[in-house]
Amino acid sequence: MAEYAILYDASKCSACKGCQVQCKQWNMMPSSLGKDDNEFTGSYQSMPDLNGDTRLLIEFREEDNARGIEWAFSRRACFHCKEPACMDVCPVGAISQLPDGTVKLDSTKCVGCKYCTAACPFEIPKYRDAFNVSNKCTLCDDRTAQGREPACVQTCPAGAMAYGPRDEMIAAGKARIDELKAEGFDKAELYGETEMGGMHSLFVAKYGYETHGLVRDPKAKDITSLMAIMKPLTGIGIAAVVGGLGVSFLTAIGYEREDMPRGDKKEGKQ
Amino acid sequence: MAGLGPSFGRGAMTNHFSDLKNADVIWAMGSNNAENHPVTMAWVQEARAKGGKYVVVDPRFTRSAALADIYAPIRSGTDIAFFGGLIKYIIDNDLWQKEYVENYTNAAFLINPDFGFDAEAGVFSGWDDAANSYGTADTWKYQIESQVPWDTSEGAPYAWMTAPGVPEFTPKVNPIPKKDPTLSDPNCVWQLMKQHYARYTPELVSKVTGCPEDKLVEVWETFASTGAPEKSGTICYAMGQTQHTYGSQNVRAMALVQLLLGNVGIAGGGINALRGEANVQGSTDMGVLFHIVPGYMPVPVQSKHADLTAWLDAETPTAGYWTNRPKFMVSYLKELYGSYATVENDYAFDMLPKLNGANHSHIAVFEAIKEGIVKGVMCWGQNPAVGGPNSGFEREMLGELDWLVAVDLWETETASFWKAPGVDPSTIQTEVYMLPAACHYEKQGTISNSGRWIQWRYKALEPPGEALDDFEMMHELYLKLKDLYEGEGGANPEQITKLHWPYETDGHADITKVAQALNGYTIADGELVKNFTLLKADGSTACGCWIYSGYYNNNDAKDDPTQQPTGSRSKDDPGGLGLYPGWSFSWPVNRRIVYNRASADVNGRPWNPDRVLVEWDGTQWIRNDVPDFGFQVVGADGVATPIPPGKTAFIMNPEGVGRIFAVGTGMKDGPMPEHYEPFETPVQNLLNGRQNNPGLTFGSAESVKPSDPERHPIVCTTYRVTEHWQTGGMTRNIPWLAESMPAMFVEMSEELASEKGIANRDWVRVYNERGSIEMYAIVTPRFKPFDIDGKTVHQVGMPWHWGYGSGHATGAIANDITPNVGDANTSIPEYKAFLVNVEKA
Amino acid sequence: MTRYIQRHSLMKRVIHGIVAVSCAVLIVSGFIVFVPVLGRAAGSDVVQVLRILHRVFAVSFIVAPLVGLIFAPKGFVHIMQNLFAKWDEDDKKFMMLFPKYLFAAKTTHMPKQHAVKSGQRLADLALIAASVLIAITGIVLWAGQYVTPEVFRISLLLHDVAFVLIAIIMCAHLYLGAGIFQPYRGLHRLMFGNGRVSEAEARYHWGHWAEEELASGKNVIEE
Repeated sequence: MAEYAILYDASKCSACKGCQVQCKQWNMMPSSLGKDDNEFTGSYQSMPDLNGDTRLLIEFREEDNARGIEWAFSRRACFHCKEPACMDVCPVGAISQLPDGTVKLDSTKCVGCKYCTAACPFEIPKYRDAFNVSNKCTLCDDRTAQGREPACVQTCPAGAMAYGPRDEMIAAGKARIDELKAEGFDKAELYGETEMGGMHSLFVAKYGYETHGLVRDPKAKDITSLMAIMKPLTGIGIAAVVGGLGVSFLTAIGYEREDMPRGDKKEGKQ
Repeated sequence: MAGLGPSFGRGAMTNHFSDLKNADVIWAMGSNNAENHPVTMAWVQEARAKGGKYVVVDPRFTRSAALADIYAPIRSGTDIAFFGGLIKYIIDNDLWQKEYVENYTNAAFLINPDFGFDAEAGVFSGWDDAANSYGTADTWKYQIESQVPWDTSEGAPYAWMTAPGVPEFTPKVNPIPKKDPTLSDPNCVWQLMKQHYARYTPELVSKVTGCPEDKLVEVWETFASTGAPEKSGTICYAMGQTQHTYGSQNVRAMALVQLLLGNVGIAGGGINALRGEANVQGSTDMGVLFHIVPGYMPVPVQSKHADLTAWLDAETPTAGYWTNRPKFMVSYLKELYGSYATVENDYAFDMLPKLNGANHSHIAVFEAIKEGIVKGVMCWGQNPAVGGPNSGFEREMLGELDWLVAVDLWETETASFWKAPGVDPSTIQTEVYMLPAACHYEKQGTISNSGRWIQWRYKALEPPGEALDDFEMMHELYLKLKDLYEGEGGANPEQITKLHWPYETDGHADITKVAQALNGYTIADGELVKNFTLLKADGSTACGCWIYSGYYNNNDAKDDPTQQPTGSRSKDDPGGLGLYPGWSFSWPVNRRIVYNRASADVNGRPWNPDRVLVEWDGTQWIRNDVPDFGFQVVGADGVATPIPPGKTAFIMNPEGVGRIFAVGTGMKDGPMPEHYEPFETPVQNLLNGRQNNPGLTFGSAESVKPSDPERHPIVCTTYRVTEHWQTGGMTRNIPWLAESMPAMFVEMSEELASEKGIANRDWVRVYNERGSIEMYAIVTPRFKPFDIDGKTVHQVGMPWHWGYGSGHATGAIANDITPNVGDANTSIPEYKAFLVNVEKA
Repeated sequence: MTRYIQRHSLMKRVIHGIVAVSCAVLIVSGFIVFVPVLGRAAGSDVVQVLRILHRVFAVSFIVAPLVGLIFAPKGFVHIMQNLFAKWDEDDKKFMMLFPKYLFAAKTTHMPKQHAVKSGQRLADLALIAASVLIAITGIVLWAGQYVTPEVFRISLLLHDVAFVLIAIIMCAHLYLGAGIFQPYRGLHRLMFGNGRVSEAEARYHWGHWAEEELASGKNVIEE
């Protein structure tokens, strides 16, 4: 099966948040029902970061530089890495990779340990308190399995998102970068072609990775490799100790305390 | 709307959203289309993909600006200066489309030699200081060459007016204006315009607008490039242009630019009024304004329209398509009063409510409450407690009412004004009724979008609880009123009891019956008319809204909207111009781009062969769109004979051309746009000797409490954000949307913030004489101070979506500090430019 | 008639028992989450039950010693004094000889010891330190949704480090403390029996201490 990917084009995104709300609607993710419960972020961004009930967030960053104002919009959601750190650390196998590249988190299997959040280079999976599970974008695998686009892609009024075979999306993304460079956006670059082994959510970064808040050369957090070392180390440590003690046990079989001089007796003898 | 009508003849968006893709330059000015009309961006991006440019001029660096090829800042309220400078730039650099201007505009027409503009006084000829008006503006008229009386003889164009049943009125005499095709006569419109805008130099425009000169010129140069015949440029505008005391003139200024560049009537051109609400086009079409009845016909005024004859005499123009107005009016009256309306009783003209000459706009209603004239108000889907100008005053006035009926989806701030924070309910005597209404998914009917598409929408689910479809409520209300009048009598009961009201099926209101009435039908057999060309003035046809005629005309399935043009959903697009003629129905007669005669030269050859709307191939018209001109004559034998190309590109105007100079249009503040400062401004008008628009309305009302530029030196503007809609009634009550933009804020520049010691996310107070409101601050480089003639002018901006209602997101009401002063022509409030001060709370 | 010394109080024995059982459950349940292969084989439902058990026993593991501290502060002070007692010559000698003792007990003579053997003092210290660390990081992980991922990551790493330490020390503790090591036969009765040690046993293990106790007679029971 061909690999599929989303292509998000920040240079066409009008940051209307239609995708953000549509994601909640399709996936039945709630917002607070309380009064004035939502934190004001100091910008047009709805909330500081993704959260247990929010799988997709449009972020706002602004810079005033020699070129004028650069108001960079970013779509923050799971990138569906080809080498997903979250999947490696999941203790119960709740995270899996579908043949089309979707990194799926099965909430019925998830035990809510949050290891995936800790391992993800982008800290994207978020803990969903009410259900004691981690939560992240599923690339709407329920929709794509039926031949439909992910909900966010379908709803985008500005045509800033596309979904299709990954190689086609990469080609379209690269072509768009060339266009942007020709328009004078010399820092424009495509994110996700090679990062984390290649992602299934690609990002046309109009103003370059940093301005859009993208991690350059992302790597699974050190925790994953340290924990990977820790496990054999534990095994070896315990084996060595148990082995050593086993020898000790064998050498001590038949030990009779009465044969041995007691501290006082021995002293007395002398 | 009041700017487009006087220019082109129809007060509506000329093109459509999907047509934006055909533009070489898309200019958003006074419109933040990426935020407030997000769907337009798909078409903007398509145009850009083909090399088109997207230009945004706005006081704020908006989400539209973030996507623009060129962004230019402008002090709020200085649009006319910006456009005036562009007009001068086009003339000086010879960038206008000559054949277009000479033939399709009134540039060559001669104006009364007494006309003039006194820059020192800042007024046009005819200003009467004592009357505070231009009166009949006698000098703003054409010089007349000859008078051509209507030919009413048999077989002639106006023979219909002598038919039996047609109400009596005087045949018109059409004055033919004098012209100078060389455009050199000092009294011709071209020369007057050239002279008028000579003052609008780039240096001065830059000083007025605060836009750096190089940016101004960059925008002008880019947009003026569309003056080349094959190029097209469109201007998208919205409330940023209209919500000023000279809003109509802002729109007129765009009309001038577009006529000069030959951009009206072509694919990818036009002036596109991006309407502020989903069905606001439909509501104006239906006459939900105090001065018009459905189909843009004037509401009778007691002093000049004593009877139908007087109305027809006064309101039937001498030439142009509006000469059919008697047919539309009689058909309208026949629909209103049915068999009760006869030629003998003036088709029940007396039953129509008459104006007394006073202004009855939104602002006026609240002044009338203050004066004790208005005692009860029905707020139907409206929330003036948040959305009205100087809303604190309006809430106070709601408390003066005997009764208030609020019809809405949720309990809005208007419905709950009596228990607002700081209000003691025991002091409010108003009896308030709340009627829960169905939302758009819970009722069926049509919705008319900005592009004049009348689209049928179906009911998806039943309304919750006691909520009712608006029409059902209206129906029950009517039946109850009728009962009461029939039982108890009263003043003029026939007005209600004689109404023709067949709009029900099985005891329930039936909107498909209204649709048939709006489309029109022949009374004898009840058959739906094909379109409005078949309407008659003799009482044999009835039609509720003539411009809609043809949208619901399938006699084979009268009850089935899916089988009607309005329910049609074909995605075919012959010609590839995004016209989609089979998708719903676009008024008038399914024309997608109005004034499309102007898309081709005088010989009928399209300016751009790749964007053909209509084309004369030598023997007949090739039609990708429905022609907006006489293109054929159908004889009695049913054989159609093509009409070779003429020059009448603007059939709704008697003179048949687009108006650079507004003659006979009723514009109350000048025949050509002139810059004035907003009602509240921190600077002097640099372009002429008058500070404000002489015609602005309600400027002297006591309730306005003008800001003092000394104490309130900061320009403030209000706006909407993508995440919320209007007063937030619908969006702040939906948790997802409340979360997406949770709190009220004011945006300001880093410079102003540091002057005031304000940091991002601080809680601040914004105040003037009308009120003081508190909210979060967003300190951002997207706002910059303006340099106005050497003086630093700060500007801040606030969205107006918040109020005290809603269970999810509450916040300060921005309109508590906006002024209740209005435009000279429409009385639309000046929400977009007023004065405030800001401090840390 | 034999003389016994009351070495461990009832409270001490109960607390030790609770902690021991908790620790065992924590190690087993933690190990299954720690090694993904095991967790995945066990399945989510089992792992979820284990995680709940892990938390239940984490509470007893943490609370039991705290109860001891609150209700018997003197005992706690006593334990601490023993742990941090100054090392004398015998202590050092013991520690030097201990490796040999482990593998050649029959030919090794160990010096007399005070209340807690010097080697055990070291082991206990390490065990307590690791326990405190694992408890604190465990609490942080439990409250994972309220801390930053960075803090979570560090806590997770330290929790694992502590786990490895505890697992290793626990092997040794079991070997010696439960008397699997032949010379220490019968020691399990100290914590899991009546807490008494016979005179002979006491002299063997903690010569100095036995002498002091017998001399003072305070904790001496004759049967």
